[in-house]
Order: sequence, then structure tokens, then C-alpha cells
Amino acid sequence: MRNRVKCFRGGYLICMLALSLAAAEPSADPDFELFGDEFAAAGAAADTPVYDPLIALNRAIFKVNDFVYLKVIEPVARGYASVTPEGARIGVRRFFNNLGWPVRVVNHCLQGRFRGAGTETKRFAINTTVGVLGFRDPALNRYNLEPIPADFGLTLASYGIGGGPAITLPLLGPSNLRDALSKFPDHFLNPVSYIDPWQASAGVRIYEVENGTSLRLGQYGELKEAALDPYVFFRDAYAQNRDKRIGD
Amino acid sequence: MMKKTIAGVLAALLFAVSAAVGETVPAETVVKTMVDRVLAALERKNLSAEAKLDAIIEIITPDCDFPLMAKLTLGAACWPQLNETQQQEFTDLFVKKLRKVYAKQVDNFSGETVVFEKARAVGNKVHLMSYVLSKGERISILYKLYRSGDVWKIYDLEIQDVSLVSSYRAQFVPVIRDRSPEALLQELRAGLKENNTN
Repeated sequence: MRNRVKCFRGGYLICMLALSLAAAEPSADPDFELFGDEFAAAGAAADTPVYDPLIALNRAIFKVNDFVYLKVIEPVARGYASVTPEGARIGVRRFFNNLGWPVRVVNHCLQGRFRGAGTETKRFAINTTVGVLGFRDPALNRYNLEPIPADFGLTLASYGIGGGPAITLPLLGPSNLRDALSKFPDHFLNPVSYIDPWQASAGVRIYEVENGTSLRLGQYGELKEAALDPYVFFRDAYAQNRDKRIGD
Repeated sequence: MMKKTIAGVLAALLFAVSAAVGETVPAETVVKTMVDRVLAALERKNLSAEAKLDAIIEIITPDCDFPLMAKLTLGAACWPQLNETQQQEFTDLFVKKLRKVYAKQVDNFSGETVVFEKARAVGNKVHLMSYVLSKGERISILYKLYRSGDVWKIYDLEIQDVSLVSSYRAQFVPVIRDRSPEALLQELRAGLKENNTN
């Protein structure tokens, strides 16, 4: 009887030992347990990176864009900024944003987000009138109406269409197949596209880009410096940003 | 009688101290206090940029768990591939890199206003959304905190929905996977040197 108990105890001890060893074995780091796969689960930010079969081509286009931005677009914006007060440039940026109202309203409707469409319409009505053609933003500052972005890429995403392969667009930067194709329908919803000779329309677009750039001088360079691999950083940041908007 | 009074005072003191220790400062307060102090430091005109940066680093260091951030950027799959010395060096290089990055940004943020939303509990973590109003544009900064012992600490930031940890992970992990931990350390070292000469 005594022996049996001993035997049982021995078995129990061995079991416990085995169990505790097993538990300790897969190097259970409490830090990683605490965070689980919070960062791995973020789709774009997973250990398996963004789907990028055209990476060589994309990197090449990124290099060209990088050069054009740093050598042409930004220097021009810097010159423009030196002769144009910041307040005016902020107004211009708001003006162009305000013109994007049809894009946002149509896409909100296509997604069945009528509240978004309503808010954007209220913003457009207030800012176009009280806000002097959109140069000011009383809708936000006085009525607390936050802008709610929407575009055709987000509309397609809401229908369950994935981003597809990453694509770096010439001049426009990181994107993916879905969002790149979505630029066409959105283009036709932008009033600037209807300015008559196309050269004038393109000129206005370029001005819009230069004006926007003048309000974030140096930022691109700083982000680039903060990155270990700038191409991967911008590609991934784009994907994260889009994922978040789709989730909202 | 005297003894009793002293004992009473001591007991009261002890109680007060233990109450102060036992009470965890809410995550929201941690971030807001930190941001307020940073903004105040930015406003100090008599400090050089370098001194300002040092002051700011001193303010944020207790509230930001930089070693944990470093670890999370590699993730459970890659972190154990570094030996202890490499882990130490990686953490060190990562913190230095963040410092360099932040150094350049310091002056961009002076004079901005910051608005906070209500803190949100996400599992056992807390997310606190804030907006910096910069040139008529709202830049969102999400602070993510976890509970470390009896204090809340920041372990990640999302600036305009882009997570600091995630974006570094996307860049670091391929280097370790396709090359080696040493290659990653080398790149980080080289990057820091480059900045120094500039």
C-alpha cells in the first residue's frame, strides 16, 4: 500500500515536471504573449509583407519619383512658398479640397454611407458660401463638421475587392491595382478635369500639387531618413493607411 | 500618550504613502501630462535645439517603453534569432534612431495645439487618440499604452494611422529573414553614422 502511494506520488511528480518543462519550452516570452499578434495581424504590416510581385519595377519608379520630387517638385514649392503667405496657401489647399466634394459624395452614396454623404454636402454648402468658395473651413471650425474622406478605391473595398498587387505610380507614388484603377472614375468626378484646354487643366493640377507640397516642405525627406528602407516604408505606410480607412 | 501620537502619525503617513503608490495614474493622464510637458519644453526659447531635445527625451523616457518597442518591431519570430548581445545592441541602435528622427521633427511641432479624444480600452490596453492642428490640417496621433506593473506605458504610436512598430517591422523583418540579424545591425549602425556626418 505504502509503495503504491509512493509510486503514485513519483508518477505525479514526473508528470508535473514534464508539464512544467513543456510549458517552459516554447520560450514563452511574456512580452510577446501580452501583445499576441497585434502587429502581425495588421494585414499590411504582417511579417508576410504587402503583396508586391512587381517589386523591382516599383522600386525603379520609386527612385524616379524620389528624384523628381526632391529635385523639381519640392524646390518649386519652396520658391512658391517664399513669395506666398502661408495663410493664402492653406486657403488654396482648402479650395481644392472643397472641389473634391462630388468625388466624396458619389462614393459615400455608392457605399450606402448616407450620413457621410450628408456631412460632406453640409460641409460643401457651408464652406462654399460662408467659407468664401472653400478658402475657409467654417464647417469644421464653427460647426465641428469633420471631413469624411471617400474615393472609388474605398468604394470597391467596401464591395469586398482587395487591393491586389502593390503598384508605385509615376509621380503619384505608392498605390495598388485597385486604387490605381479607381483614379479614373474619380478623375471624372473632379471639376478640375473639365477645364477646357487640357493643358490648362493639367496646369491647375500641377498648381494644386505644388501648393500642397509647399505646406509640407521637408517632411518627405525626414520620413525617408527615418526609414531603413524608404521604398518599403512608403509602400507599407500607404497600405496601413488604406486598411484603416477601409475598416472605419 | 506621546508614543501613541507618534505611532498614529506614522501610521497615517504610511497609509498616505501606500495609497499614493497603490493608485495607478490613469493612462489618459500619463499621456496628457507628458504632452503638456513636451509642449512647454518646446516653448522654451532660451534653449538650443540640442538642449530642447535632451529635455524632451528626459520627459518622455519614463512614459515610453522604448526597449519593448524595439522588441515588438522584430516580433516573436525574429527577436529570438538575435543573441543577447545583439538584442542589447539592437535596442540601443533603435532608440538612437528614434532620437535622431525626433530631433529633426522637434521644431515642426512648436506652437501647435493638441486635442485629445476620450481614452478607449482595447482589451487590456488603452488607446488614446489625439489630433495636432497643423496648418489647417489635422494630424492624428494615436497613443497605445499597456500596463507595466502599476504604471501605464506607451508601446506604440500611430501617426495618421501608420503604426511606428508596424512600419519598422515591415522594414526590419525582411532583412533578418533574407539576410541575417547581423545585417540588420549593420544597416542600423551605418544609418546612424551617415546622420552624424551630416
